[in-house]
Formats: sequence, C-alpha cells, structure tokens
Amino acid sequence: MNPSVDRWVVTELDTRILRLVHAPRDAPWLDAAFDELALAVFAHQFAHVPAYRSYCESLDAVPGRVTRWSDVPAVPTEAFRKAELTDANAERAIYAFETSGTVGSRPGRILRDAASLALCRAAWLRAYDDYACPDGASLLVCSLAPTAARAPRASIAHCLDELVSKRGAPGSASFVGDAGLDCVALHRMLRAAVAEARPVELYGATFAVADFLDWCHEADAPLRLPPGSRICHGSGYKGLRRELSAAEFAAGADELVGVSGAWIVNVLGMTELASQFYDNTLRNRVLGRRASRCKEAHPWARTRVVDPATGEDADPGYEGVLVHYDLACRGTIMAVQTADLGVRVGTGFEIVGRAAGAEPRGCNLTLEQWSQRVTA
Amino acid sequence: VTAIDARHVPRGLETAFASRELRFNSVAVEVAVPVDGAAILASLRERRHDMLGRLPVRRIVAAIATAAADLREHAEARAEVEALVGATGGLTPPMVAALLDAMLGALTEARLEEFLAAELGDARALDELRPRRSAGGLARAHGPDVVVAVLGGGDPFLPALEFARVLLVKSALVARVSAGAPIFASMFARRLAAADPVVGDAIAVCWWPHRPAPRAAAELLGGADRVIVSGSAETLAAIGGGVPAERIVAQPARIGLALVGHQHGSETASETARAVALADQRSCLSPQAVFVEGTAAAAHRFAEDVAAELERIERELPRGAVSTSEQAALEGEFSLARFRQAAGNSGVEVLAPQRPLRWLVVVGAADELRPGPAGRCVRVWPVARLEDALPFIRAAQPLVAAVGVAALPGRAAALAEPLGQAGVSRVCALDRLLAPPLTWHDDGRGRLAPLVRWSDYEP
Repeated sequence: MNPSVDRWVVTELDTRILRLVHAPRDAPWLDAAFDELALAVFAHQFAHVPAYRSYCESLDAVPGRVTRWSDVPAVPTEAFRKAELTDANAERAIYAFETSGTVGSRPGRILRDAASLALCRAAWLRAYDDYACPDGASLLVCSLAPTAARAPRASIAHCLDELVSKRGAPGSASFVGDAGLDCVALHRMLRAAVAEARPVELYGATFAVADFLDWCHEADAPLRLPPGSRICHGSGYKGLRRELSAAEFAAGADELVGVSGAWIVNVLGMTELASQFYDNTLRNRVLGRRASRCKEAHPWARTRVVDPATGEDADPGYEGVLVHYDLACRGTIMAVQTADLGVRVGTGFEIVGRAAGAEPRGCNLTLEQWSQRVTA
Repeated sequence: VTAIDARHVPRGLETAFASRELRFNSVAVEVAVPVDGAAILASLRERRHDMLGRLPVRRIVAAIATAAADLREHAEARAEVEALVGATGGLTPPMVAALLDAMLGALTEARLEEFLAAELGDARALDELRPRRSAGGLARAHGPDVVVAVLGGGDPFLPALEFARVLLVKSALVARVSAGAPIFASMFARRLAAADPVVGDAIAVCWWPHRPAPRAAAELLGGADRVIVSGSAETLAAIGGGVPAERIVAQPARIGLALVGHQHGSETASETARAVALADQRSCLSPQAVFVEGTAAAAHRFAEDVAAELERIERELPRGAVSTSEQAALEGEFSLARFRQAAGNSGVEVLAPQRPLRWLVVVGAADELRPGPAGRCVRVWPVARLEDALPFIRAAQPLVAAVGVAALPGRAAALAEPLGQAGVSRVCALDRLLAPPLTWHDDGRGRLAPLVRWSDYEP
C-alpha cells in the first residue's frame, strides 16, 4: 500500500509539469524550471513509491542530498517486471500498460490513473506537434498499431488513438484489425489519398511499416504518396524474425510509397516512459536549420548518455547507456535506465545499439506477435 | 602501423579473393573477402578429390598435431599468437596463454586418434572399407567435399577444433572468421600449410559481412556440402535463409552451469570463479549460474567466497577489454540486482567491486535461466536439493549445454542421468567444465557425426 497521495500536491505538481509541456522551446527559464521540478517530482516519487524509496536509500541518494536532476537515481527498465513502480493506489489506476516480454517471462506492468494518463497525452501531442508535424500540415494519420479498444495494455495503442483523434484529418484511423495489419484496406485508403492529393502520415512500429512495404512490393502495387507525406516509425530495425538496416528501410520507403529523407522520422518510445523522442529532421526543415539527424530533449524530458564503466556522462562521440528523465512520468518513475546504447549527436542523441543480450525493443515484439497471428 | 594479416588463401586461388582492411577492437586487420564463390568451390572440390581426400587420415592427424605443437611450444610463434590474439580478441595476455594451452594442448596425435576411434569406431574407416565392430560386413566413412564454417567469437582458439574436425574427415574448408576472434584461424591455417601443404591448400580463411552478404558469400553458403554456423540467433538467422536445412550444422549460443552439493571440496569456490573468469565468460561452456545445495545462508557464504576469488583472479588472469554493449549489460544487471536487493526481493544480495565493474555476483532465489551479460557475472541460487535445479534446466533447454558438478562422487553420478534426460549433453567435474575432451558428444551429436556419411559393403 502506497503512503496516501495528497491529491492537492499531485495536482499542483501536474500543473507545473504541464506548464513545461506547453512551454515555448526557447523560453529562458526552462533549465531552471526543469532542475527545480525534477527534484520536486523525485521527492514525490521517493515518498510514494516504496520500492523506489528503498532503492534510493540503498544508494544513499535521498531528497535533500540529491541536488541535481542528473543525480536522481534511475531504475533499470527490468525493474518494472520485478516491482509495482507507481504512486497511484492500485484501485485508482484505470490503465495497466504492459511492457513487452520474452515468451514465458513476466511483462512489466505500468499503472496509470486518469491524471497520469493526462500527462502522457499532453506529452504525446506536444512532441508530435513539434517533430512529426512542425509544418502544421493537415495529415491523414494512418496508424499501423491496433486501437486501445483492441490492445488496452499497449501504450502505443493509446498514444496513436490520441494522435488519430486529436491531430488526424477526417478519415484517419487504425489499420490493424482482428486479423492483424490490414494491408489491403490501408493501400485502398492511400490510393484514395493519392487521388485527392492529401498528404499522409504512416505511423507505427518499424516492422509494421516494413511489413506494409513488403506487401506493396509483393502485390506489385507501389504508390507515390502526395508531397508532405511522412512516415513515423518506432522500435528500430531489429526484430525477432529478421533484421533490417536503416538503408534497406529507407530504400523500401522511397521505392514503394515515395517517402524519403527528412520525411522518415524515427520515434523512440517506451512503455516505461510517458514521453517520446522524435528525429529532428522535419523540425530542422521547418526551422531552416542545418543540424544533423538526432533525437532532441524536450522542455520536460532529458536524456543522458552514460558511460557504463564509470557511471558518468560519456564523452561526446562515445557510446553509452541512454538514461531518460521524463517529468511527465510523475505517476511512475521519472528516471529510467534503458538497455539502449546511444551517442551524443549535434543537438541531441541517437540510438546506436542495445546492451549485449538485451531483447529487441518492445513494440516490434508485440507487433511481430500480431502479424504472426495473421500468417498463422 | 601495418594491419595484422588474417588471410589464408589456398595457392592458386589468390584471384578469387580480395583484400580488405577492417578494424576489430580498434586493431587494423587485413582480411580476405571472397569475390568468386563458384571458383572457390570448384577448386576446393577438385583439391579434395585429387589431393586431401587421398591422404591417409593419419597424415592429417600428424599435420594437425604438428601445427598445434608448433604454435604452443615454439617461443617465437607462441609470442606472436599471444600478442595478436590478445590485441584483437580483447583478452589479457595471461588469459590468452591459459586458453591457448587448454585448446592446443588437446590436439596431440594420441588425443586425435582417440577422438576418431571414439566417434567412428575405427579411424581407418575414413581411408578404406573396414570391418564393423559389432556388426557384420564392412563400412567406410565419407566426409563432405567442402565445408563452410562460420566461426564463433567466444574462445579465440576454438577455430582449431573446428579445423580439426573438418580436416579429419578430409573435407576442404572455407572458414569465415568472427569479428570477436578474427586472427587465430589464419595463424593456425598457415601452420597447417607448413606442416603439410596438401592440407594447407585445402583451407581458405576469410571474412564477409553478414548483412548485406556479398554474392560470393551467398554462392559459398548455397553451394557448400555442409555449413557449420556458430553464434547467436541473429547470426544463425542471417545465414540460415540461403542454405538448405539438411546441410546446416547449427551451433547456437549455449551456456554452462555449476551445481554445488551440500558436501564439496574446499576448492569449489575457487573452481567456480575460475570457470566464470576463463575466456572472460564468453565461452558457451562458461557458467552463468550456480545452484548451491543447502540453506540461503550457505549460498550467501559460498557467494562471498566466489566473489573473493573473482577479485583474486582479477590479479592472476585479469579481465580484458569488453565492449560498451557488454559493459552496459553488466551495469544493467548490477542496477537491477541492487534494485531487487533494496526492494527486499527474495533475499537478493549483490557482491561487486568498485566501478568499473570487472565481475559481479548476485545471490537470490533461483530464476529463469538465460544467457548472462558475460564479463564475469554469475548468479548464485540456493536450492534445498540439487535435484531442485532440474525444472529450471528443463525449462531453459536447449540453452544449457554442460553442467559442472562439485559434490561427493555418488551425487554427481546420480545427477548425470536426470541431467541427460533434461537435455544436458555434458556433466563433468566443475574444474573440468571449460576443458571438454575432444570426444564430448557436443550438442548431443558428437563432432564428426553431423559431417560423416557411411557406406556399407556386405560381402
């Protein structure tokens, strides 16, 4: 039983977090606000998540002693499989998201109540607006993930429902049905968009997009989506059944749907986090920046690249472990140590690999399980 | 600094390979990359037919034993192997020396003859029709014409064993080296060529990228009579597509385990630590977990002894360089264990040195068996009786290859049967875990059986 959470304190914290989520990216007060709020969120989680409190105490990193956001203890993602890491009392949680797990192993469970999910939704929309649609285009959003009604435990499903309903032009929808990804319906929708010259956004796990591209290839039905069309894909190129290279994926997208270069945006999302990190390519284009492709921090979420040998920040250009600090995770744990390896690049970071022996990243696994159902 | 030469190309086939400089563990290495797979296959088939296939097997035995002894015993050759293998394999010099002695010391004429006799009944069956031991008639063993071996990166000297088994059945060999151990295969091949040019001319040591694989590599994989693939599931998947299933000899990544009985010797903690430390735990026999019979307190005491020994071994056989990816895995394991310890999770206790972590011992309730992060990380799990480890082993199969037992002799013998039924192909004394005999039924099949075809004559 978690020590009871004072709703007024939580509401006040959430208000401050939302102020950051909605803040202009160039506001001069952002750094100071992040530092201060990170310590407040840490103190809240220390007080209300017993397993996390014990962990912090064992590291001698407790509120008052921790004075910088980067010193807040991060929990490894695997810890979500071993303990309930939430400040919400179980009965108030209305959403239980599950992290992917290997066959037979227990998935992690991430409980969110309505207020926690509201933070997620705000973070999803803001990140989307800045990086997936910085040009403010009216897009036909085609989700290659199931709806939350079909997959209530998949956080990506909730996220895409939100993007489809709040940002998608009329006709936007999920194209995953009972039988898996419905390539026929998706292709029909895209053909109509081509006929009407409406720009499209394909959004889903990397392998879902790759499966659709394969389908277009096998059906000998390539498309040239209207200008402004884009692909947002997450989870990366390594799956259970096969591995793609980024170049193969890009070549397929160019050849089969006519989307290339800056218009292919990789998204880093994890069930354990509330926020997502997008490639900055479209934003660079809109701002007229000449910056290299990377994922950038948000006013409310930052990422460290940590040298596993020292526990300190890796030198620029050197690989390290990605550790995220996401204030929108008020209801769970804001500091999460991943099994992703990354490097600092330009204005942000990029993923370059996984810790040895770590499973392929989450959504691919789930999606492969879905698409296996289709072919079975 | 000039690149280290990791090429061995049969005489007369020079134009079928290109040279390319690569960096493995930041060391420049010159590799041969096949450019004409069809020509390589055709020429090796011819050599096998006209030359290697006509050698009596004892001449091949002699060539292998001579090459192994040369590398092991001649000071200059040995120094070169130790320096280059250490630099490219991320292992420290004392570790390279220990692994070299263990592997090459096993490749003597007497041991190789023993190996052939154990696997085939009569080694001369590779030369001619021989009377069958417990059946009537005569039989002869034939090896494949050409074997392509995609070598693994765990123990840098393992290629010697792969070479031995392929050459003993008189097959020509194309060996693709692994990025983790790129250099030893060519050194061994050159020694074989010096010992017997017919043998040396039937071996090519090369490299190619798995993704995307060049056309010549696809030709080699598709056209070889057998393809031996060692490595991760990813490697197997990358190779598997182009090769008919019946021609693949897959050797997926496996793990070792230790079982420590209620009564065991005073050296057991030290033996455990040594088994964990050898090859920096990258061997597929390296123990990833230790089941300790008795109370949780006994397991904790044992874990402390193992930790102390790992710290001591760090001075005798220091750990070499590990990749960021391996160190990240070790750090992840460490963080998770500390989290579980703090959260009061099933008596978890973490024993580790100061950063950078050069070893890690995690004590706690037995859990799902899986490959660990390597880099000398071992889990210590208490069990009331050693037999309680069996369900965990069964659930993990085919992952567990070998189990080292430290217990009274009767206990080990009693465990051998159920462990075999649980799919373990080797049960041995803990101090022998990392030194399997050539005669081990590796992967439950033996080492020659997957390569050999028999023909019988009933007079």
